[in-house]
Amino acid sequence: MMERPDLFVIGRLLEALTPGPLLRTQLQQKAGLNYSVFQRYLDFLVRLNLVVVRPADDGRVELSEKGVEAYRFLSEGLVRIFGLTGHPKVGG
Amino acid sequence: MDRRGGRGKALPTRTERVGEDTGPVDQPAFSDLNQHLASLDGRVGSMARRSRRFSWLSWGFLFATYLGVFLWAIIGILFPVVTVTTLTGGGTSTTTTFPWWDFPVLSVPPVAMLAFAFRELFLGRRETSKRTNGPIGNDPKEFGGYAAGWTGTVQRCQQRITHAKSEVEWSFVPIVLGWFSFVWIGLAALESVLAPGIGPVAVLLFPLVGLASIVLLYPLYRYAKGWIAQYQELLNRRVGELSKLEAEFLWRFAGGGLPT
Repeated sequence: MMERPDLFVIGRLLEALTPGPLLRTQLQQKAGLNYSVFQRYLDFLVRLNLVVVRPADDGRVELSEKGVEAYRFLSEGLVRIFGLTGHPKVGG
Repeated sequence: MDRRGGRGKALPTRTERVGEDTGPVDQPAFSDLNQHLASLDGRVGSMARRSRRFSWLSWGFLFATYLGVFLWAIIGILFPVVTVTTLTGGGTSTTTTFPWWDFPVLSVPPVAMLAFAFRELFLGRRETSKRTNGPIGNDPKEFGGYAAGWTGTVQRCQQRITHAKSEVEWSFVPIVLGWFSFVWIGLAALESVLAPGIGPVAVLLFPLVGLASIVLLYPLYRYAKGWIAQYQELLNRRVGELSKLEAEFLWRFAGGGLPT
């Protein structure tokens, strides 16, 4: 069982897949994660059915419908919390 | 007119993305959030760096003050100012005092230390309210060359804030001690060089000047604690909001808990 997942990492993985399916290595690089962390999060997302791995397509990873919904939920939630409108601001 | 600013065939548009035309998800929200994290980390890193320097300079002030006392006495012994007065009866009276330049020269290092310490405090406040990237917090090497997650960044920020708070709080102890010593030396110097007869006045002035110093230092202490507390409050608020979002996310997409 995975420890508490980091929503930012999940968000980055889902966001990296929004333009289209990616190879595992491409996804890992785009999300900026090391291999072990990436593998843990990928397994987690697959188990939640947020992403689908396509063995027939060189093992490319693709966003599922549920994944699109999850990405929307997370990005809207985080934008609401941090009040981001293009440029990030810190200071509350 | 094409996108290059000239006439002719327009450049092909980007391939349609998943979730396009559905509002905020079109924006690369997490790229912004990564910058946001780096910014937060940079600001807190800057605050930690400044408060550490403030702490070192505060202890430096105390050290320089006591070193000044020692040197002041040594100079008084090595270069005494001997005044010989002829008495009315025909005899002579000899008075030994400290040279006039002794105290001003030796008070420069502690005063400079104190000035630099307060400068760090004010610069820290200014930098943390403006900077977007910090030389400490925003170094990718600190993340092992990988992008940071919220959890790790927050933990590190919280640790830094706790350290900064503690350093600033404890830094006022050497400042107060050093300031009392400094005032005392100043009055002693005044008494020995300028007016040997003001002993009782100096005794009264010492606690009064010390009290006035504390009154002046207290708002500064509150100020330093205040801006550090602001960051602590900001982080705690964010942590609370993120926990709520995390719970909602898990409830909605993982059936209420983490998958086994």
